[in-house]
Amino acid sequence: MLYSLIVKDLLIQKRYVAFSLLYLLALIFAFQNMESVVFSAAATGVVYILLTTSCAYDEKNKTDIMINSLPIKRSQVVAAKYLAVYVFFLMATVGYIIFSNLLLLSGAPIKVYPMTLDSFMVGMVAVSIMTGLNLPVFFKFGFAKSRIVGFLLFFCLFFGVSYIMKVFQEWERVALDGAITKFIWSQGDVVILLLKAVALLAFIALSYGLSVKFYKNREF
Amino acid sequence: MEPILEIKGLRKSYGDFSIKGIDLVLEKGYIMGFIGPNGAGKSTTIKLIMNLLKKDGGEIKVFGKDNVKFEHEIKNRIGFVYDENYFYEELTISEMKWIIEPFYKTWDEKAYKKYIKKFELPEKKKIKELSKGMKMKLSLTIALSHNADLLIMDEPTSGLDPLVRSELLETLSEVIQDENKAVFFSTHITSDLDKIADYVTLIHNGEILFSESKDDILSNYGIVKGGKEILGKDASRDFVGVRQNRFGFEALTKDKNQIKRKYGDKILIEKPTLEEIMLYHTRREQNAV
Repeated sequence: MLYSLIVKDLLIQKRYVAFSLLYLLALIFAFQNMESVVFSAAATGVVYILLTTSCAYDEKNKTDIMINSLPIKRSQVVAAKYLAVYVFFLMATVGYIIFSNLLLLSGAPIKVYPMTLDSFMVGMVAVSIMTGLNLPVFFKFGFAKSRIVGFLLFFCLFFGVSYIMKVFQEWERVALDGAITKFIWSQGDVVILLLKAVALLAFIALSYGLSVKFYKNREF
Repeated sequence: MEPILEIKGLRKSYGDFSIKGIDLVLEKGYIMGFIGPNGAGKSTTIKLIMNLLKKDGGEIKVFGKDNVKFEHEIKNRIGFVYDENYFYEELTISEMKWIIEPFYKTWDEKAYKKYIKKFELPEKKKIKELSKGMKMKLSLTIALSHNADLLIMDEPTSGLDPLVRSELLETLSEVIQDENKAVFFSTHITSDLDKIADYVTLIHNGEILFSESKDDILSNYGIVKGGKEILGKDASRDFVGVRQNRFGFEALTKDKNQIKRKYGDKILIEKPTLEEIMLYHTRREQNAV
């Protein structure tokens, strides 16, 4: 069922999926001086376009009435939307890898910055923050109101990814006084990565919990 | 045997409107027409049954089970058709079906194909390119493709041409041949019910005015015409929706035999249609004597 709802979010916006991949390509050309953040910014943009469009189509067709008349739990409807966001992110990632490698192989006279683990992580964090803050508003008030919040978040994150990346690097470099922080920084890279992943998961879980709570109380 | 749908003391308020503790029962094997003017509470009641609105109080049982606690299980056995298209207009019929199919444990591909063929629905066409009649037929096809035991329909004939309406009613008559199924059908076009309904429930201003078998209604109710002189103290008890003019009065009675015995030759009694019964009831407050 979740699979069906996720595919639905792609099917209803086939044209936008194609458009967002073109947009990805255009950003590789446009962001010639942004180095490693090109991927993060481009992926955030793609996810923003696809998430916004899927929510807009839900609202336009008033499909909450149809979906919630089917044998499905509201928590599953919410979960499908969160999962769709990561499917969009995965598509952007694969698209970026393909485009950047094709451009590198073609020897085109432009700078191409391949995706790095850092830029992937920053992209994931940016997308998660955008989704985690936007979707509870969508599930509480519908698309019209969440669109404003979504646009502000996207604007901040799209242009703030380089800042987020700097903050990340700063956190890694500066070890603060305090036993816990010292302990964390004394661990290996894998442990630190895991801790970051856990923090991100906790944030998304909290956001999902709020969305479910709001959506369960919605009336159609 | 448990009723397929049972509502007891259902309440819901929002804004100026409220559903005021309504009761109704629908048994297996029957079609119940749920009639009332626009804004009477038909759609609200249906949305409460489907848990699209949260009730303030009362009880809704479908297949003998609470409609909220057993929502998932119940909805597997409900087919729904609403007054508007709530499918994704950007998708084709076959894409929409592909998305909906996995939700139902008992999806019946054979039945789906049968109705697609019967209604001549173009599977490759986008839903936004379909006429209103076609969209309604698509809703009905989906509703009938998972062996639903209860069909819930909210004004399905509204805005449709007579040919499509007749096709829909004919299909419902076929469906109800299976005595384990039931249909709950809201409409303000009462002529639809003349053909297919077994029971008729009238709602007005959030209250159920009556819920009776159609045959009983049509054989007991009558339109009474007579001189004003007989409109005495008993008028409000004997008649519904009294309308007076220079020559006399017209009103509805719930028991034409009793009225005939009481007033004899002073009155004339005619057979009412369901529409007239609804109109007399719903204008009662404005014209009461």
